[in-house]
Amino acid sequence: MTSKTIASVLGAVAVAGSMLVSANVSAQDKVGFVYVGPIGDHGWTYRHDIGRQAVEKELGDKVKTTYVESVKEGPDSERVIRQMAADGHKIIFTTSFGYMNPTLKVAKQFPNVKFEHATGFKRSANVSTYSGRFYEGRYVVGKIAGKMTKTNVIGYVGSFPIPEVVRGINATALAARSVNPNVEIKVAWVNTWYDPGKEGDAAKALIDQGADIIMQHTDSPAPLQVAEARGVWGVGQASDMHHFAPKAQLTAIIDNWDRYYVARAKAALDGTWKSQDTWAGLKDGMVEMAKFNEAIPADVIKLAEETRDGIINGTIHPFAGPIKKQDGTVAAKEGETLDDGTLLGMDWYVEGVQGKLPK
Amino acid sequence: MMIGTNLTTPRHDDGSKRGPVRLKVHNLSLDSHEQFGIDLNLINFDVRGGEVMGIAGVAGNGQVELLEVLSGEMLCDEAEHLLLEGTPIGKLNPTERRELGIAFVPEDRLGHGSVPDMSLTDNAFLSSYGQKKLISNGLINHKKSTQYAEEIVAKFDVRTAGVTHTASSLSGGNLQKFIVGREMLQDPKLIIIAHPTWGVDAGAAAAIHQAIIDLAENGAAVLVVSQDLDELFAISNRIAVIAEGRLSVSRDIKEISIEQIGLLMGGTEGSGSQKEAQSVA
Amino acid sequence: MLLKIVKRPEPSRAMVYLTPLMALVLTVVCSMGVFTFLGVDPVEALRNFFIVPINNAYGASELLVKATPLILCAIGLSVGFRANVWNIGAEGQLTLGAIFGGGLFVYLHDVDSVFLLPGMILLGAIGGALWAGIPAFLKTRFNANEILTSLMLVYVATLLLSLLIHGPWRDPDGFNFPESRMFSESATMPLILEGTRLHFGTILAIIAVLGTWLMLAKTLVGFQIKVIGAAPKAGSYAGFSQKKIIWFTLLFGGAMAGIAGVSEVSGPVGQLLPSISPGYGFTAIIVAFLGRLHPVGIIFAGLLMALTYLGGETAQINLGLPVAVTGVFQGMVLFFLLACDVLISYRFALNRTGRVSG
Repeated sequence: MTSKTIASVLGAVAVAGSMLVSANVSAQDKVGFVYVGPIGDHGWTYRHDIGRQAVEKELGDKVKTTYVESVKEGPDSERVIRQMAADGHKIIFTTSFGYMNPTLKVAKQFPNVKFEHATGFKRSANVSTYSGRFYEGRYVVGKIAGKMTKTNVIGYVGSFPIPEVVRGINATALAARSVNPNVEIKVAWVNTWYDPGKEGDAAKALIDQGADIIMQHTDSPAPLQVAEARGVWGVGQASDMHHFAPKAQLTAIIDNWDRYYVARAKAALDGTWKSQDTWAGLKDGMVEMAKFNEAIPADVIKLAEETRDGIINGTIHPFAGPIKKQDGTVAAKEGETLDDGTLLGMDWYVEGVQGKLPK
Repeated sequence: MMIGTNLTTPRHDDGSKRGPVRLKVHNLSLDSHEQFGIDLNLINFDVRGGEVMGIAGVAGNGQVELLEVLSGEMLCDEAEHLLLEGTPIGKLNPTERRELGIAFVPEDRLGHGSVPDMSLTDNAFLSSYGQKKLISNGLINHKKSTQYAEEIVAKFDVRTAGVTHTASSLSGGNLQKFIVGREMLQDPKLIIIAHPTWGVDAGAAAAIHQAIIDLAENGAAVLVVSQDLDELFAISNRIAVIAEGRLSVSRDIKEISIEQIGLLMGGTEGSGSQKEAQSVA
Repeated sequence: MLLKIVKRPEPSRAMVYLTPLMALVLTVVCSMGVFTFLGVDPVEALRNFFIVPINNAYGASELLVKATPLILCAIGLSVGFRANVWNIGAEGQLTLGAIFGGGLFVYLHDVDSVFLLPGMILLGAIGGALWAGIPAFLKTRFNANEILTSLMLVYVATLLLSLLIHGPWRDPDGFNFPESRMFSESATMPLILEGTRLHFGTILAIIAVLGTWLMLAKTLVGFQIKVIGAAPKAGSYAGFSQKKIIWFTLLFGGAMAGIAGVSEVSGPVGQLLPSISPGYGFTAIIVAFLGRLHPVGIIFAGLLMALTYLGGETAQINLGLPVAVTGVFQGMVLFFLLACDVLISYRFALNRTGRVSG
């Protein structure tokens, strides 16, 4: 083909293409959701989508919801967020930590669109942040784990060593060792939020190293399925995963975004939306505990329920002192509690966690 | 007989035009690295300018190994095993050997002597770019390569639809003529040809034989390795036999008969004099 | 059988150009069936997939932004594939390019010099080439299969980046989150078009394509690559060194991937993160083959693949189609291309004997 032919073919395609373009007029306002994984992860993204469906149900006559799955963090996410912002979306929920800078960048260019960034720490006039105090759920689970473990090793499948994940590990350790001082936590890092293959392999490795309870901060049910197959205990992550592991799942830490999403969407629509940071836990229902496994002895269930209720009514704080760091120094004395700032930047392990955090 | 071809039995004039020794192979031994390869064992022979030296042998007796070591695809243990007009070349690679005026026609025309899916122009460039200066300013001179390919096609009567067609589009005989022509038109001092007319039609075979004779008459040293005794007796001045990696003493073609060569190839002892058999060393 | 398959005397040049178009047409036709089955208007779906993403200047610029790393990696890989050197580790080489180039910024973050970015790009190429040099060494010295070595080094590279990001290269003002400082002005790829994300990396990609075309068509090393790939014995007959070509093609592929890596982090990403590429190094393998290992083909293939990504996102946003539609499209294009490729070396002929053949 000569270059002339190529040029004219391209020209024809361009003309034909522009003729097919029609103005994209939306009758309804739109609420957008950007997901880092597939809805089928039955975990993190799945729960966000349940939240989206709640918005559809409550406000379906006023808004249309749209979503894009498996958007990789990085330049791809910026493109997707911008595409939504440019196309009639009033409020956009970006549901992964790695979307932080892209969200802010796009928000700057679209001041009339509201953005909600999950698990982030940077805000602006039209960017809010929100997250759940998942560590509260971890604390409840830790109490159960400390009582239920026979090998005194809890295996933890970790995604990235960011403060949120470290918090969860530490809360588990503190709770477990409060009822069983011999418990140790072993962590395996998989460097991804969602990869069932890697997650499952990490769980296998941890079980081979003696763990009889598997916990995770990754998004698929794979570690639980491995726990079920190997006859050890596991904990559901972000959603109730007991249909994947009916015998193994002790309980699950469930993310519940419904009320938050409906409230924020409403605020965006009626103009009352303001930039804020929300960090809610068991008390506000953003974090829930799934039904406790029937195989758990009654006194352990009672302990778990008491812990949960204590956190809700404020009498129990997962990070109340005395807390000793892994290196032996004191993080909190008796009577002291770690404040939110410390929690947000947590980059150290408590006593009882094996391994070193990258520095 | 094929219609339209002029089959003349190539005649070979002998002796008087032979010049000094061009190629000397001296005590060449080489262990083969292949599982079923043949080790070469103290091979000694000369090829003079103006003569055609033939090496006869049943396939699988070390011809492949010998050809590789002569072309440079395999290097000798010591450079002195191969001498070109006195200069040791045993450690030189094919490109360096070509610079000294050596040309090669390998056994397999498709895949070894030529790239099947590349054009005749590209295949002409393949082994001749140095000698024919087909690279100018660091870039391939496509025009000159095409001209060279066309010259080969014309002078060696290669039947083809054009030099832009692939080597695989040529018949066996025509491709062989092309490759032989490519090597011969580089004006080599020494040319080594393996199985020149294997799988080639009679007309092309005759043309190739005549070209070999003509090249020798013009002063080149020619080494032909073949299984075809009729061919070797038609074109060679001298002949030797390779068997199990060893080479017999070479003889003038007039001093030995086809039957005797055949027996040497078969590796029999005791036919003729004892000297005969022991000289396969 | 009415039709039989007959080998062509020589490969058909016309078909080499026609088959990608045929594959595209077949994909479009087939996907219309898929969309109808999903209950979506097929024309509307195709429009959203192919036209809407690029129907304005911004969309077109996004297409180029997405295609740039694909084309850079693919052009580097294609040179190796032509010589039968199977570099599967472009993703790792891309990562090392980002590490080397980004690392220069991390250590010189206060420096405001016009030489910073060129230095980063150069280091990126060196980093990628070094990483590809490992499989080259292992192959030429120990005959280790480069597919395995280059692939396994991808995981090492990713972990190395993670190590650096979580450790010494972490942004001191970043609340302990694993990311480097945001790149400064002098460490950022200049934008070509204001208001878009189109950056200098695209120019680098174009230069790489032109340079590679020149090398393959006109230089001796390009000729050597083609011969060694097509007929290794002919290559050795011609005196071409297989080892040299292995080194050259792997280093070249690594350098291109390294440039892609540093372009991404100094361009659209803007910093070093644990995850800087959604698998460009692997997708580039598809782009290389879709483009027939030819520089011009790779440009079109890179643009086409990028469009399938963009189209998939648009289809999800506007039509609620599932995320799998991207993968289905890409799979169909590849499948039909491989099928149509048969027509390059073979053709259909009528079976005239009247009997069942075979």
